[in-house]
Amino acid sequence: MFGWCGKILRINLSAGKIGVEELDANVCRDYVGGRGLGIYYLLKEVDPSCDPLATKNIMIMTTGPLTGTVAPTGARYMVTTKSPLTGAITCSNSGGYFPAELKKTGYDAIIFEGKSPQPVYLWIDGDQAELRSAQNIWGMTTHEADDALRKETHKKAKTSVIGPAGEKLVRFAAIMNDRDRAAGRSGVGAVMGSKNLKGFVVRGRQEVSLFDPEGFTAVNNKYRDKFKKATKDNPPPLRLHGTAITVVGTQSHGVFPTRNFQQGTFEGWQSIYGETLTKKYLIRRKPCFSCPISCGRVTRIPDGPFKGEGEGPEYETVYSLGSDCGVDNLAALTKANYVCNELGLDTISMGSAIACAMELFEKGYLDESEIGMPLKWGDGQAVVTLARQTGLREGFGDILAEGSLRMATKYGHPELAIVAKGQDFAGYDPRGEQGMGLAYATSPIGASHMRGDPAYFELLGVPFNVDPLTWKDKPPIVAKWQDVFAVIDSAGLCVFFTVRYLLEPTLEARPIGIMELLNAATGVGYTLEELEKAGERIVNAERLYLKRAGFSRKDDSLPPRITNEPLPDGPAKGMVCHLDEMLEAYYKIRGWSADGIPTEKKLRALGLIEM
Amino acid sequence: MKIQISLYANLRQYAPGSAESFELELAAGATVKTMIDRLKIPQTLKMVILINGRKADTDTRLAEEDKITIFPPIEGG
Repeated sequence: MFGWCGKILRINLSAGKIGVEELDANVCRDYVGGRGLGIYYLLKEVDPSCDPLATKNIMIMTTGPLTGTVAPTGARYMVTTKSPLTGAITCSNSGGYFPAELKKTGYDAIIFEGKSPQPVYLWIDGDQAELRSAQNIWGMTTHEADDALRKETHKKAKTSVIGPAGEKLVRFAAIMNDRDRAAGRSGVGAVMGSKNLKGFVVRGRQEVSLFDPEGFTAVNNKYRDKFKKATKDNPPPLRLHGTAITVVGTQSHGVFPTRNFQQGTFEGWQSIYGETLTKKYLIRRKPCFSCPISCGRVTRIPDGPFKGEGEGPEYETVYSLGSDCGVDNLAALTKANYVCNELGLDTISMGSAIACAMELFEKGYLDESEIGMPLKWGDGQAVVTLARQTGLREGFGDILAEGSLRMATKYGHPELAIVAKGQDFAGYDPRGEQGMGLAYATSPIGASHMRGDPAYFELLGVPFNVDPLTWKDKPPIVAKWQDVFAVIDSAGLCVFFTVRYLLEPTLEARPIGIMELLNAATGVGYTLEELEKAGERIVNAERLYLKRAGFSRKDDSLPPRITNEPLPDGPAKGMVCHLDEMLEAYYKIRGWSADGIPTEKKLRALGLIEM
Repeated sequence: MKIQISLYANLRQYAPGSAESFELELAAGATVKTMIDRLKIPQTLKMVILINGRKADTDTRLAEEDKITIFPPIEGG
């Protein structure tokens, strides 16, 4: 096999056994890798009714055929499992250097079953894998664990670990690789903690073998040259100011979520956006493996109560720990970001849960005595304190650790949790961005901007802007982009380069560049239609799993604030999200029933009927 | 007429000073294209142009006190 390694590692943690299995070439072709392989194994092996934190759940870590190659942004891996936050699928994606190193061990995937009786970590050196005791590192922060594990193994090894939050089963705990990169969403870190698995350490010893090395170089150079030409005199905004520059796009369209989505514009936005971060706290940029953009930020707060150094904040964190909590203190939200990284927490769900608690407090549904402090909008110190308490499940943090929906339900007001399928929204208010509302509602992992990201064409000008306030035109575009994002996530690429340079610059977003890279790497000879069908197959396979787990149209929903309460401010003032009208059309385009279930005809056409 | 313009990221280089927002005096009836020419922003550059938060094209007419936001396409968030 080329591109793929053709092998997976299966670890039974209960028995402490490690086995190697061959990967079926047809499965590779049909599901591509990464996210596709993840859902293939989840669908085959995980009882949809199981408790996500019980022994029966499995955790699948997958790379794509382009991970670890020199393809632009070939740096991603995916963690697929059943989510303890939502009960739905989760597939959390991360970059950095760990994924490429994992691929270079010669395995496309690692599957963890069962639960270890004692804390362990997995050490893979070349293709040799062993489970080792993690008794001494259990309880450590992600940074401490990274240091300790590399000291015990190899200084150049790459790590992926959980922090105290994962160990303590915080429902939105992340898995952190390369210290500060996160497979962040839906509680993958809690699943890892439930298995007594502290981390993975990998040292790759072989390069990815390519079907046509010369052809691959030619395709790679073609797209890299295109990027170089386009950015020669105009450096990409993400390189200049990181993803936090996106605030310009959301604030100017009036979709920058503020005070738990009570407003769409934030008066303090200029204090916390990317250009301010660059001026005040940026030390250096930090690219992922094989990335020409370099959006990662290493930052330092030099003094004061929030003194510290680390990575971030990204746009989503600026929204969740910033505007959504009414915080305009960049030092405070950056410090809270550091705390989340070190304890291993998803910053989106952390900030959203605090924002929800702030609104519960504001409306008198939650008392100061329960929180241990007054919780007012804009209190940056409270955000830092509560992030720490949550990661350690101390004090009120033990309630926040259950996530915003469970917390809001406990206090009698579930409608104040701004979630879809129980997962907190990303930083885009769907009332002023209708396509994003449809994407949140139909995403297999609950609200996520990374399942077809309509912000590209509704706000950010890629490939060009369409009106964010219209809804009748959105279902076919969202469906198309969801399918192509499934291909990106499965190939092992990052969307940041791919969307602009490897997709046809139309709303059809045909994955021409991905196809060329995949064919040179694997020799499979995908046609565009086959690759697009693979994306559709992955989306339908995910939907099939959700159906078996009891999800249907009733769960493709958004909170009443979004569908019933008009936005009170900004350019989208007066708008609500027209979800129901979009859903009808969307299901028809998908070939799903009126209840959102893939029909037998559709499953047959995609080769999913036997699944 | 007076309009207020904000330029971001690499487009900042076309602002008359170093501030991200500034005022510009244009003749009545001026369009977005007139404004872009005045700022000497190359027509070939890809941009997102908003007038008071709504998408505008190069032939959109400007009005007194319009707030214009211009930023380059942003590949991710």
